[in-house]
Amino acid sequence: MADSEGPLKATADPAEAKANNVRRLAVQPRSGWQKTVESYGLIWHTVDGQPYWNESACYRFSARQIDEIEAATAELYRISMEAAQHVIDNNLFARFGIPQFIVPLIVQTWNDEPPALNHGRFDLGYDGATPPKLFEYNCDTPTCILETAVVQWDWKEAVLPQSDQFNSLHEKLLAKWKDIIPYLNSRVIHFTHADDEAGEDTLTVSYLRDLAEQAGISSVGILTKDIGWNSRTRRFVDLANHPIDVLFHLYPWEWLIKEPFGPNIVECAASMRWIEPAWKMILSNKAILAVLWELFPNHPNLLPCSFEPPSFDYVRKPFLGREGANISVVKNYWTVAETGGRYGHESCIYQGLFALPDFDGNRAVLGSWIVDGEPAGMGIREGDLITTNTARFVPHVFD
Amino acid sequence: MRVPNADCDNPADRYHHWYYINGGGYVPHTGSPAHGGSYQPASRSNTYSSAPESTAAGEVSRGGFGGTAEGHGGSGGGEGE
Repeated sequence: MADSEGPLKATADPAEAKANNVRRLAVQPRSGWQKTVESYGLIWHTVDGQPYWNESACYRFSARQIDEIEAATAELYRISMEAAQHVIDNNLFARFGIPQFIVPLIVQTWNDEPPALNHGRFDLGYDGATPPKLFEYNCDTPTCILETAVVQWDWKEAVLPQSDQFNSLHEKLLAKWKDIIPYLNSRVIHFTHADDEAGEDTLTVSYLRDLAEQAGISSVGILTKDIGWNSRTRRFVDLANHPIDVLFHLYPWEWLIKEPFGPNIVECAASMRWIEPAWKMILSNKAILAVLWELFPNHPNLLPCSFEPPSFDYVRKPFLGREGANISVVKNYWTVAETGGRYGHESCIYQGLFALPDFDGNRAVLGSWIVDGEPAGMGIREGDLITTNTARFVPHVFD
Repeated sequence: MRVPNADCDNPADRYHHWYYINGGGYVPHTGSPAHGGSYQPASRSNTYSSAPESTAAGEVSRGGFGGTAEGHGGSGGGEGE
């Protein structure tokens, strides 16, 4: 389809678009799109009066570019697993700020490979012309699943049915649930998340819970603050005081282990499975980015990264920062952008600055998904110099 | 009548047998009658679900998780991670 036909209109600078061949295109939003996306569960489509789900635009890629993103995702997973093994073999947990009491469980779950979705989202910078670069790997409590797996696919089918989309996330997550359920040794999975005002955690967990039910297992939901500890049986229990055998948690490991019940996780580890497992604490920690660069210097999909400020332009990120909080962008030794937050006291990594392609002031970050080692699709967030929780989700297609 | 699990694991006990309850079905307390199941295992015969424990007052404490999110306003709002 030519850019001037149908609902599309090119808005990116023509010279730039021709150079990198990734295009941001204006699209006519569907009439009543809010109701449509709500019907799929995306109730937080508008935040503070601004659309979070933005279907007034889309990004268009070539098949070659999607192949490149897919290959980079598989490669990043491969080297990430090597890096995690390196952390374990060299006992680098203290460098990551991981408490010693949880290390045996991390190592045990790494070696035993208990059933898990093993899903995650690589956040990538990509200009279409040079290899994708890794910003970070979100693999403990990744979100943006529903909008990636379901909502943008429905949009594509309705608006650009002749185009394709890099997206098998729904199918791969469902298949992975079916794969692991026989090994859980339980008829029930408990699902937990924080009591969130925005509703994103609730909906993300509801979607994954629905997939689990489709895969053939019962589920029970419980807010994280409502999880109980039975001091006689030494088990975590739900609100009905049923012991929790398997717990899917959209609640970060680093929070769990530092809270009052944290030590109990180790005590009852033999009688309870956590999805995702404790070893995810290694890869969700941004210290892994510096380790990756140490192990694979000049890798085409990595940005230079270190534990000390470099001499070049960089982005400073807390080890355990979330939602783009406490990030600083430093150019020519001057801080040109920074965000506030609660993570400022933590150790940080310093990652080489990547010039995100600018589409009329919109800077896009790719979220490329992987499920147990297999690339599974991508979603795109766009915002300013730093991608925060106000960044918009924009669908994509490829031809 | 539900009996202690150990009784079903005792090879010398010919009177007690494992009783399989459908996924999501009610699991009775020990000593309570069991309904809606079968002595024949379902297709995934290797799965089980923990039974509720009789809980004395004060045995269960809550609030030991979730505090970080309380001070954080949740991890939602666009991008949990």
